[in-house]
Amino acid sequence: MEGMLSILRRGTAYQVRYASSNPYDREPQPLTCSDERALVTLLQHCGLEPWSITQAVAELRHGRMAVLRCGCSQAHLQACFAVLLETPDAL
Amino acid sequence: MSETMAMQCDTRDMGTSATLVSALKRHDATAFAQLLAQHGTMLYRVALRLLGQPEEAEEVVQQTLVTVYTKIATFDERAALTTWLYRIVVNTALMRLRAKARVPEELQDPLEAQFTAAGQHAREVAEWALPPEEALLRQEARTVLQQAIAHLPTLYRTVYVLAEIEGLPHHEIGTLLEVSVDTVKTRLHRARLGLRQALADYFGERQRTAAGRTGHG
Repeated sequence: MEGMLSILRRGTAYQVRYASSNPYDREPQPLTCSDERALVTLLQHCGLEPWSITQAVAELRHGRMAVLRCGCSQAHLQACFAVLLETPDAL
Repeated sequence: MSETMAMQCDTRDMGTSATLVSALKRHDATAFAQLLAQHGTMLYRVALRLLGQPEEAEEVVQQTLVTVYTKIATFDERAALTTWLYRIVVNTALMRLRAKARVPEELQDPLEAQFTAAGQHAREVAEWALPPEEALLRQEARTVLQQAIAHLPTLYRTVYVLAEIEGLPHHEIGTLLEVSVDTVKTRLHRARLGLRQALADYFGERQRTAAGRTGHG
């Protein structure tokens, strides 16, 4: 299963939306990463490669929306996000 | 396995809509970045005109991309890609507006009472003193017009934005809003008259100012 992440900057925070390639999947609520470090950590947990994360961050810093293909499932993304919320020191 | 779509756009092979649609259907790595590059401004512009808030408009664009990614397999290409995109962004923006509204706007049309059954203004509307084209070139007039558009009821604002700002033909607007061409024309007519009335004070003031200058000259 693969999906797409679209990311918007909201002040210092980032709004991440996951889109599934399965049209029957329910659309999940967007996730909010409190800052760039949290976003990068989330993307790393999702298995994105460093160069694609760097390029996405560069897009966001220019005020543009970043769009990434993501190999992980929606459930995996949610799990990664939950771990980050529970262990902020891991950031 | 992951791949960025934001920066790695080789756009040479995606110049045509059909090629882009094929790439989108394959969930091609660069196709969605290309979609954003080609149509992102249009999507944002429509969302902003309908919602009035830049942050909300950005979120609607984001949600639109999600919908495109998820539903692209169902796009049968009978309509143009842009028409399909217009439909998604308009529906997404309207859903957001409906979610915020306590009462469905269809039930509270504030312009309804201002028109006769024949579609004419129920009362006299002030004449505009200056040619609109001339005045609208001025920033002040543009701001007034934008505010007036923002205050139109959603039903009329949607049609006005699609027809007058995006330049879509009536039949295309009818298709994407799932209403008849006659309904599109009626809503557009009412939107124009509503705007005219809303702008009457502004242009009336300009007329008085111009007349004052002439009188003193």
